[in-house]
Amino acid sequence: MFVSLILCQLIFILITYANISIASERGARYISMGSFPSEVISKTTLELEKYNFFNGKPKIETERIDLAETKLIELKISIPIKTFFGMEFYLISTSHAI
Amino acid sequence: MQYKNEQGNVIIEFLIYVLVAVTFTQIFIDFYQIARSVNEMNKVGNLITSSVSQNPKTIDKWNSDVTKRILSDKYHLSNVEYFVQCKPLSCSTNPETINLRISQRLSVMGIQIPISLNKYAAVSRFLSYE
Repeated sequence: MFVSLILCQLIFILITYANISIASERGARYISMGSFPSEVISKTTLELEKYNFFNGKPKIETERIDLAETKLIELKISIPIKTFFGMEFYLISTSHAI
Repeated sequence: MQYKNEQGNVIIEFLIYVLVAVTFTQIFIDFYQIARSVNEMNKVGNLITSSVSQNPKTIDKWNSDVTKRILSDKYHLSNVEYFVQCKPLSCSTNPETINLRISQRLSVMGIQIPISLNKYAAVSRFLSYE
C-alpha cells in the first residue's frame, strides 16, 4: 500500500515536471515572439495553477544572460513539492529565449 | 513444523514484494531520466537552431567546447555531444537548412544506451545577413 502511494506520487511528480517543462518552453517561445516577460509570467502562472497537483505555488523568474555571445532571456519555473516522507524539494525547469 | 513453513512463506512473500517494489522504482527512475534527457535536449536544440538561424555567425561558438560546458551546466546534461552545421557547409552561400544532432549516453539498469535527437531549421532569415 505504502509503495503504491509512493509510486503514485512519483507519477504525479513526473506529470508536474512535464507540465512545467512545457510551460517554460511555451513561455520562452512567447518571449521570442516579442511578448514582455511580465506578461508571459502572469499567463504562465495562470496556466500552471490550473493543472497543479501540489499545494505549492509555482515561482516564475526571468533573467537576462549572455551565452555564446548571444543575449538570452532565461525563464525559470520552480514548484515546491512535498513528499509523503516529509521531504521538500523544488522541481525546476529552465528554458531560454533569444 | 507447519508454523515454520508458514513463517518461511511470509518471508519469501515479503522478499518478492520488496523486489517488485525496487524494480518498479528503478524502472520509473530510468524512465524519468530518459524523458528528462530527451526534453532537455529538445530545449537545447530549439535554442541553438533559433540562435543560428537569427545569426549564422554564432555557429562556431555553439560548436565550441566552452558553449558545450555552459550548456551542460545550464541544462544538467552530462556525456552530451552535439554538432550543428549549415547545409551547404558554408553559411555564406545560400544555405538551405541548419542540421543539429545532439546525442547523450545514458545508463539504464546498468546498461549504457545512446539517445540522439536530430533537429532541422529553415534558414530564410540567412538571406538578410548575406
